[in-house]
Amino acid sequence: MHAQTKDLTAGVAGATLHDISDDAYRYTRQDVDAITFEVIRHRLLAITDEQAAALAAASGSPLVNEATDFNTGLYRAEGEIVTMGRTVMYHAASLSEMVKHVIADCSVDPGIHPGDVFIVNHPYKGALHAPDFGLLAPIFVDGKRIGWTGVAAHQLDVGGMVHGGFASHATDVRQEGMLVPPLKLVDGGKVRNDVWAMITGMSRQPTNMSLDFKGMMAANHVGIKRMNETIEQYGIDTVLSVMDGVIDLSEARLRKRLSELPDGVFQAQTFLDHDGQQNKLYRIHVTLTKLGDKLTFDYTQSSPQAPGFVNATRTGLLAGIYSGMLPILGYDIPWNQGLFRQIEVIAHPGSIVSAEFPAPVSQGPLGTMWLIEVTATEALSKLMATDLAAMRESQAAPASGPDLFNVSGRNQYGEPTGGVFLDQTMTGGGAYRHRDGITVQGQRNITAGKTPNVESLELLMPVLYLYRKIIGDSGGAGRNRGGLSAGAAYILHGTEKLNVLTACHGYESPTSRGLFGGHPSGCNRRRLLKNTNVRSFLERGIMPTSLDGIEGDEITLSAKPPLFDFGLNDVYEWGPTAGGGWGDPLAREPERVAYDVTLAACHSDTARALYGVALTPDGKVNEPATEILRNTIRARRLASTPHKRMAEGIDTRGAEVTAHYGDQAQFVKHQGTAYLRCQCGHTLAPASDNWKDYACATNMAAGDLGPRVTLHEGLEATGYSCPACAQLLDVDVKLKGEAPLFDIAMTT
Amino acid sequence: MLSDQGDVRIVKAPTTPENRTQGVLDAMALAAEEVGLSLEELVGRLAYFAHGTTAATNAFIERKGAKTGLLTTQGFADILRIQRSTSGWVGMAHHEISHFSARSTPTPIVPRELIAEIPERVDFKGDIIAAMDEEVARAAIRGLVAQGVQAIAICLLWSFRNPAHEQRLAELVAEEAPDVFVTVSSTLVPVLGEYERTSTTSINAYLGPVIHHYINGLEASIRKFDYAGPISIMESGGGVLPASEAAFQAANLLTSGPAGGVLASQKLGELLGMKNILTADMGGTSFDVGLIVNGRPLLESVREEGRFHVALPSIKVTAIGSGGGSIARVREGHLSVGPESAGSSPGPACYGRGGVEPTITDADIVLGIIDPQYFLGGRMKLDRELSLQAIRTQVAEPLGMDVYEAAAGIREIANNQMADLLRRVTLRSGYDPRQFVLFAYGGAGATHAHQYASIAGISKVVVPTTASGHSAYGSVTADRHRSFSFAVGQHAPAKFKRAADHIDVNALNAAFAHVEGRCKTTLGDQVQIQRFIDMRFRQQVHQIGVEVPDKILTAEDVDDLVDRFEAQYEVIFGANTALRISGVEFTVARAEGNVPVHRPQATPLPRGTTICEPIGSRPVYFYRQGFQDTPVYRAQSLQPGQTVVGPAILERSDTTIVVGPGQRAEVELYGNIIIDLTSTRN
Repeated sequence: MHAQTKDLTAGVAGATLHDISDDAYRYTRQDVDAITFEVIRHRLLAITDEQAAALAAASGSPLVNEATDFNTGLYRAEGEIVTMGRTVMYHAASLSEMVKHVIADCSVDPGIHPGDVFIVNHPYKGALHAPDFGLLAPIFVDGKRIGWTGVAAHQLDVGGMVHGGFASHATDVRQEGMLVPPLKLVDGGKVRNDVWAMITGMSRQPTNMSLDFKGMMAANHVGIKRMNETIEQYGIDTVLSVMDGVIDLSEARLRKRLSELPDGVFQAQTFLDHDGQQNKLYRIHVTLTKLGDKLTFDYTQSSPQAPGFVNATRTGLLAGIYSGMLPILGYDIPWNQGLFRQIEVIAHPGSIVSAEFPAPVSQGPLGTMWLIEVTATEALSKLMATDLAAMRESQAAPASGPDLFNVSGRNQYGEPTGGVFLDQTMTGGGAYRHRDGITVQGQRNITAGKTPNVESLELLMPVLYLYRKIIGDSGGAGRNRGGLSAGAAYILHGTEKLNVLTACHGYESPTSRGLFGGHPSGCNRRRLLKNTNVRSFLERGIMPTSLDGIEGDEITLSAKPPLFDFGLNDVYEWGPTAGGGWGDPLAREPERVAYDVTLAACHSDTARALYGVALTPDGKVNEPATEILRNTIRARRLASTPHKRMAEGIDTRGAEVTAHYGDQAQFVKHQGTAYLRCQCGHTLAPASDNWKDYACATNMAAGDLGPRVTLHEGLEATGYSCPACAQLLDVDVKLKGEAPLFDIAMTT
Repeated sequence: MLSDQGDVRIVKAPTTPENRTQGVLDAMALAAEEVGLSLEELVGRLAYFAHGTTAATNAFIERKGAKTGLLTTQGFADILRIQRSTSGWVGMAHHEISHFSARSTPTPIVPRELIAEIPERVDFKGDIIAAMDEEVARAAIRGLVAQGVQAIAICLLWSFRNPAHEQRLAELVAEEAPDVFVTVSSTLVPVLGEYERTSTTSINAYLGPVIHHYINGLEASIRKFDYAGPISIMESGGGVLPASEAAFQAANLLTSGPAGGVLASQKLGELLGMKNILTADMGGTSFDVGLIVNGRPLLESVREEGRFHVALPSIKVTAIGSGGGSIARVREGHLSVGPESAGSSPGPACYGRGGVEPTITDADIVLGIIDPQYFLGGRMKLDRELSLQAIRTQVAEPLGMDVYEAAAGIREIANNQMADLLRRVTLRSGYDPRQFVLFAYGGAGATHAHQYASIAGISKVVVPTTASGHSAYGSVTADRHRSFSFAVGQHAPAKFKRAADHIDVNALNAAFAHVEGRCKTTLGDQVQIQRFIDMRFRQQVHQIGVEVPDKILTAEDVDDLVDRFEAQYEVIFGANTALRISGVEFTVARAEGNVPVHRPQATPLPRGTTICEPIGSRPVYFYRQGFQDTPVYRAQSLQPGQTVVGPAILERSDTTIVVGPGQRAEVELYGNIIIDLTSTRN
């Protein structure tokens, strides 16, 4: 049972590169008793944890220690994941792919031997983008390879055109930074100082890189040492039986979970705006097929690769999908290869989700890869929402991509400085059926990261925060609303000028979609005011709490503008995407909306426009006015005529429920035919058709989606409501004129 | 209760949550009974009284603190809600963190409507960028008072660099609302990091009135019996506080229980000549590990406290969900133990309170390790049949094992998990567990230590005589202690040659004079002060407290501190990890003040003259070794010098001590039991 990652290309990274190689240890699976099994299983996790501790101790960098932009793990001889750390999830797939590339490229020459350590950052050889370096060490027993230990960590600088590696104007991966194919960094226990010096010498921050490498070496050292101790204590065949056993156990649990869910085909899509060069739209689209205990993620309807740095590699595709899956399907299952064996991944080589060399990819992990995670999350959430028990794990989209803020220049101490601000991680989570999204939950793919304090950043960088606050209306509206994000405004402090590179998507495209009528979150927003009078406010003892009232030249920035100067009298304000909503906003209890208004989580105008809730001057719900407002909104939804009509006389009330469509509608079987039925009892459509053709479709302007939403000129948003009760069941964001997305097709 | 004759007695009375003072008096009455005195007589004769309390912890967990307002810098009212993006997971168990749908946000300490923004701004140097608007501030204070706050927390950006605005706000509060309890961040926790500072300050203000009320009541009750001695309250950072200080340090009382156990181990270690100690406290729900290195408990500068953070230096204790009540479960043929716990209600199956899932305690019963008739010295009878049934039906049968093998397996798994934690805690701090002695306490600590300590590579286990009241023992023996910090915020830049060229040594001296002055003011002139400077490499996160000589510092001393920092850094984080080239920051000057309390001299017990005799024997099942006829001793009848070779069970009324096959236990001079584990290891 190997990972079935079907690859439509020749020569691009995939999971089936190599047969079981001759140098791998062969053994016969032992029947390990349950006690020894659990003891060794726990030991393997402890080792992974000790690896992370070793890295964090040696590295000392905030990227490793607070943003947790790294991962550690143990792998089997061919790269199957046995354990992974619960840090940045993307790296887990990457490490596994790196191992496969090391085997493919290095087995014959220079050979893989005990005491070796391999290093790689090549995005087409397993890395996500050039800043992510992996160090991998084989584990040998009696001259045969039994597994690997590996660490990947994001580096501050890897050379290339710009500091930090995010070159928006690069057109080729070779411009983005050094490219290290799998190379032998340690040969039989001896560090190759020439290789070390060459690699670190290509970085603008060689000392930090050396320190991280030392930490990664220490982590691998701990991994090998502790594995050897465990093997010595229990015997190699027992330990391998447990390593393979934990993978099988996770696989078995996943298969059981999948087989308890109905079969179906689920679609999700979103549009990445701006490729770094042009403000074009790129489709990221998945068709998820769930059949029995298998999943197929088909991304073939995604756009061709972009000329700019937003692309994901094949590894990025796997990383995005894995990150989508782990917390939804694997929340209580040990995270390892067993969760990925039952999945097939299909994509066109040369597409934006599986770019071909030498397409640039530096922003891919924050760009296309992120949207792969978001679309996989959405499709899986739709699957989970077909079952009442599993529905608890179904979530609307989280914040769907950070707005990079990378500066360079001199700091307040007169020293050269540069780097990415890490406070763009203060983002909201997606809404669930049972609760609102978490406000400022942090990025979904970072399991437990920390955003720096204002004081830490002001100490390090020559900026002064005017404010840092939770942004009202940033989360998507819904019966349960998306979690809100926080944003901030800066001015310079202690320096005259900084060069700033910002880059995001979701700027003119709502990429954090809601579920089952929930609205998408607000877009990434930023404002740059130049030559302002902001300092006169401070001199008068006034701290501005918004840009209102500050006079200056407003500069319109695209999603990925060229490098710009940030000067002494300029003000920069930003606010990220947030969590999508769950369910029709009109179904939110008016009292909860009123409470949100008191918290400034929701503006009173939004309460009226999106939730149909009117408040009295003292902030209480005005019930009669609310009823009128809500009825007006419902009437507006029902004003359009559905494209198709149900045949007369079909009454499915009382029919057997075969699956759910969130808690908004159900699939039912009536006289041998499957239908989708709204919770109001109205039969929406035959289940074989796209129900949206039978619904009242309302074109929604950006402002109808939310006050912080912007729609690219190529996009349109449509809401689909039940023609009987006017419940909003879904909101599509699609290219203008396109047919609605057939989001859930049950095949059970 | 300690007597001048070195007599140590432990009595326990149940907590009385409605009126906690009553529980304290009940315990004193029991102690009085033990020595044949009346409560009044006993209290009147006491020379010293120390108290550890969970009053703060309970008020915090149950959110029963005072209604608290917060004054914060304009533009930053959301600091506590943003919570550095940790609100969804902080304080959740490790296994829950990846279960995203189960995440939730904490109930706020200060609700949004009680947070008022004050127009003012100070920068990273401490320069005032925008002066404070006092009219707005007064109005904000009045607004909070009108909403009925009993406490106000004051925390402004960069106040640790320049506390002027915070101090002025405190004056304004005193003018506007003299009865409101106030905590000022630059006084309580003057360190960098506005989230942790705001969280700590708010929690302190929230708990201050509760502690104030409780301690005042307690003191009055005790003074009523003519007690004239000092009253001390246990805190989390390494000692006890004068009672009058407790309310102002309320956030510091939160983890005083676990800290007390570590301090007790430290004091006992001093007596026994042991300096490197791992402490292991295993109770009903968790296994708590602390570390004492070179005679000093390991501190952490920030800890998770419930769903928030507290940034007061405190004794570091790491826990996993392995306790007597940890549940064993089989899922798809896979056996796991914990972290779910049956707690004390319903508790292990053998308690007969309706718990049907087997726990570690049930395994101990089935294996003959714990005598169901002698649990808590026989005060609580356990039902072995229920243990057998739970393990048989839920573990043994699903796995096709016999019930004893299954029970031994539960124990084996739990003990290995605990060993993994011991290793993690020591390695993370830069040490090797094999260099430590383990102190095992708590109800189940010594029942399992023979194995988990051995697996972690530890050679020696000490079971203190005070095992079940170890934390209380820590309260009475610990020094009075206060820690004062001052943020110095100086650095030597990248590629510096001499640190002294960049560090203002006069400012350092002034900072130390300031914190030492505060130590002396609060603890008196007889205070013993240790001085530390917290340092880190620039742009790096690991911070270390380097001990600073007790003198006026010179430029040479500054350079010497950098060298010592670098050396210490590499001891902890590994050779060649120091990043001197990026520059060095001097972040915080700290003074740790200690005043020894009245502490009776320990008296050695008479040496045993006879060979100790077991009270009997019973079959005890050891993993992979089956049942072995195992002698059972009453631990209190053992005398110094006597040794027992395992397998053996030493029963005490508060715990059951296991000596593994081939291990050797000896009673040392003061009655503590020392188990030598080495003889079983190859």
